[in-house]
Parts: sequence; C-alpha cells; structure tokens
Amino acid sequence: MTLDQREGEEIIHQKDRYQLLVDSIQDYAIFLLDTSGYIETWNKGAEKITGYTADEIIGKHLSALCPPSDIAHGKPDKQLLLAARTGSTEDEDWCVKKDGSRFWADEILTALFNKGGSLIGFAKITRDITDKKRSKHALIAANKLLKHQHIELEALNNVKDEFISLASHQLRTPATGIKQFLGLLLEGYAGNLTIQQSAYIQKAYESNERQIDLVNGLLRTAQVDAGKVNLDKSFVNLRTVIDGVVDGLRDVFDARAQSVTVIEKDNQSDIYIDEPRIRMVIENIIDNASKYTENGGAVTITLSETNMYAQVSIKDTGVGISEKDIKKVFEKFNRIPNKLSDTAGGTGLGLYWAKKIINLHKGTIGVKSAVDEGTEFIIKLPKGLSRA
Amino acid sequence: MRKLLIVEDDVSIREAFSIILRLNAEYEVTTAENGRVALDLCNQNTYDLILLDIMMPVMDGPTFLKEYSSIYPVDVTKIIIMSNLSSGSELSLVQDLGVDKTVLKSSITPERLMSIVAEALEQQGSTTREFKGNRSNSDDVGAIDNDERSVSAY
Repeated sequence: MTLDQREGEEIIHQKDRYQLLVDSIQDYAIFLLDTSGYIETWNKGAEKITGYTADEIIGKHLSALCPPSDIAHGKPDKQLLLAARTGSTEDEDWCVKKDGSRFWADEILTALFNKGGSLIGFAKITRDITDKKRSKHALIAANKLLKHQHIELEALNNVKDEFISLASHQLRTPATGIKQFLGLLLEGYAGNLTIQQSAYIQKAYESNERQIDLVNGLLRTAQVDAGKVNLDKSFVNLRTVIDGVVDGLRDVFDARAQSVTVIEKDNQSDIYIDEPRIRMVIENIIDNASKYTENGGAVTITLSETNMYAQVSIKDTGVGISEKDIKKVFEKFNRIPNKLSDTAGGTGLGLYWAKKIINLHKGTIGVKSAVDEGTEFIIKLPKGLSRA
Repeated sequence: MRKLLIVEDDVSIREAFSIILRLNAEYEVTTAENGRVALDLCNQNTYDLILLDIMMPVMDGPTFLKEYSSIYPVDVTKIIIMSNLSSGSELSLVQDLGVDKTVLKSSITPERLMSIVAEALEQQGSTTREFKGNRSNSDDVGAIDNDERSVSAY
C-alpha cells in the first residue's frame, strides 16, 4: 500500500470510528445543522429522544423541535446567531417530540467553522433531562409539604398542651367540691358517723384524692412539655430535702414494715436547685421504691458529691425491672407490669416528668435494675453557682 | 362579727366554703357567683375578707379586683385568691393588684380553709398590704400544702 493510500484508509478509518461514536450513543441527540439551521444529520439518540427517524427530519429546520412559544419569540434563530457569535450556547428548555409531547432538554449548540474562519454549520447535542427536572420539582414540593406539616404539627402540639391544661384545671373544680364535703363528713361536722359510714366515706375521699393527683400529674406534664416551666432556684441542702421527704413518707414505710436508711457519704454542700420540684422528684422515686418493694424490704438513700455535682442514689430491695422494660422506664404513661403493679397505682407520668425536670437542671437520672434484684435510681444535679 | 364574702362560680364549692366558714359563729358569710354580683355587694357593705375565684363568667376575678381596688381603700379588706389554676397569666394579673394570699382550692381541707381565713383576719389592721407580689405563704400556688402530702400544687 502506498503512503497516500494508507493515509486515505486512516482517514476513512477515523471517519468510521467517529460515525460509530455518534451513531452508537443513544442517550444524546447529536446532529449537524447547516448555517441556516436545517438539520443535516441525525443519530440514534436523536431518534430515540424525539421519535423522528432520520428520513423524517433531515432537511427540516431546527424549529421543528421547538415549542410554538419559542418560535413566536424567534428563539431558534436567535440561538443560532448567538452560537455563531460566541462559539456555543447551552440552554435548558422544552423541546417537542414527533408526537407533540414535550421533554425538558439540556441543549448545547456549537458553531462550526472551516479553516478560513467561515461558518459552515452547527453541531447540536441535546439531552432529555425531563426526569431530572421532575425529580427536582418533586423534591421541592416534598420539602414544602414537610415544612407545612411541621408548622401544623407544632400548632397541634400547642393546642394539645393548652387543651390538657384547660381540661385539667376544670377537672379540679368538681374534685374540690367533693373534697370539701367528704372532709366535712369525715371530721364529724355533720354528726357522728358509724364505723362503716366513716370507712366508706374515707374510701371515696381517697379515690377523689387520687383523681386530684392524676390531674396534677397531667398538668405538670403538659406544662413541662409545653416548655412553660420556669425553675425557681435557690440554695438548698439535699440532705435536708431528703430528710423532709423521708419524714413525710414515714407512715407509708411503717405500714409496709420497710426500713429506710439515709447515708451521707460526703458532706453535702448547698446546691442551686428548684427546691419544690426536686423535692417532688425525689418523693416520687422514694415512694416508688416503697411501692415496688415487698413488705419488710429496705430502701437505702445515699448522698455523695463531686466538685461539680451532688448525687443521690435511691436503692430498693424490690421486684426490679427487666432488661427489656428498663429502657421504657422514663417514657410517658409507661407502667411496667410486675408482681406489685396492680396494687401500686399511679399515672405513669411521674418518672417522665422527673427526668424532664432533672434535665432542665442540666442534671442526669439513670436506673440500674434486674428482676427480683431491686432497683437503683441515680440522680446527679449540678451544684450550680458557688455560694459566696 | 367578721364579714366574709365568697366569690365563686361553682355552686358546690361556693356552698362547701360557705358551710365550712359558717361553722365559726364569729363569721357572717355572704356569697356571690361572679365578680359583678360581688361588686354590687361591695357597694352596699364593707367586708373584712373576700375569698375570690379567678375564672368566673360575667366578670372574672382579675376584673373584679381591678375595679374594686380603684374604688376602695386597699387596707380595709383582706383578699385571698382561691383558684384551681396552677400557673399562668391570670394569676400574675392579680399579683400586682395587692392580694394577700393565693390558695390552690383542690389542695386544701376544710380545716386548712378555716385556718387560712383565721390567719388572714388576725393580721388585719396590724399589717398593711404591699402592692406588688405579696406572696409569702405555703398555700401559694406552687407550694405543697403540708396537710396533703399527696396533693401537690403544680
């Protein structure tokens, strides 16, 4: 073969390869236009995307693929002009298929020049990105919906808290009436009662007290959920608080023949806490300790300190909590069924509220337990500002 | 003879408090079911002590108090707020209007009511009421009433 022949074959080989390249690509429309914008070539990708076969489209103007609104604005020609001037344009726009339907296209129009610098035509590459656009729109819409739902949920949550608050306050009214009249009866202000009468009224009175407790619990919880709790802090000695709580529960422990021991491992300094609320937290836990321990059992309260924290441990010899139940201990309305839970009573809100209050103090509460091996609650509270 | 006025919209509570306080022969007890009735009564009588509910129809506690304190001298009558609200704006409304005490109704027993009233009447004349936030006592909303371990006032 001569050199010329080899070169000739080389060129033909190259041309074939480029032909193969253009022809093989199915996801991009790649075609040539003449200087006026008439379509000169067509590839498989173009056919796939637009539906036009080469025979149908070659010789037609680029505007055959444009939506009428674009044509009315003279778009295809403007683009050709711009490409000729700047070298290439890239655009995202609607294009029209053979069947009249639209697709969203990413279009690159490149002006082609000969060695002399004259315009000899254009090359156009078009990609169908309808799916991408749809996904993007879907994402934006979903995002908007989520934001809207979030606002609605927050509003609903507020309404829920307000409703609980209102209903609870109103529920206190009849309970108040009952408390007063049963109290008057029990104290003999309406005459002497027989033993049986007194006993029945006492039961009614206690039932009403439980209702009042329930309502108070609901209100406390609604308040803390609504973020409306303002801690009323002062310097308090935890030992004093614990002693007060234990004294108050003395009858409860005696009735169950349970022993209570308070151990002060370190000398407790005063800490800066909301005393009434922390007292309620501790009372709740100590009361629980008694409730969930059999008669004759023991409750041990240990106080200790570090530089930054005061710690209270409340340990009982009671029924304990299983591994699977222990994770739910601080959840709302959680009442773990166990040997003593039928007699125990309670709302299932106490520990939920306790944890929230302790967290508001930037403290922590944890629990260790195993079935029949007793339970230990450990509360850590930051000491707060140092006492001058 | 001390003149007491109970302002309360719930009929059971109104009756109960009335019965309880009438057990003391020294007390002459009158009741009103809302602030407007109470105001009319105050225009005709001077009371030593008013037990005032907050939430009432027609005229509520804070409104009564505002009107009352704009007409009558502050030192003559003791005012105790009796409410079942545990927190909130309604309560803070009354603090600034010079009340002696705020009591959570659902936490007190008949005896406690009697002692609260007796305490307030004892102090009459010997202490002048301060106007801003004079809350100095354990039956305040927000404290646990000592007689009722199980009932807390939050």
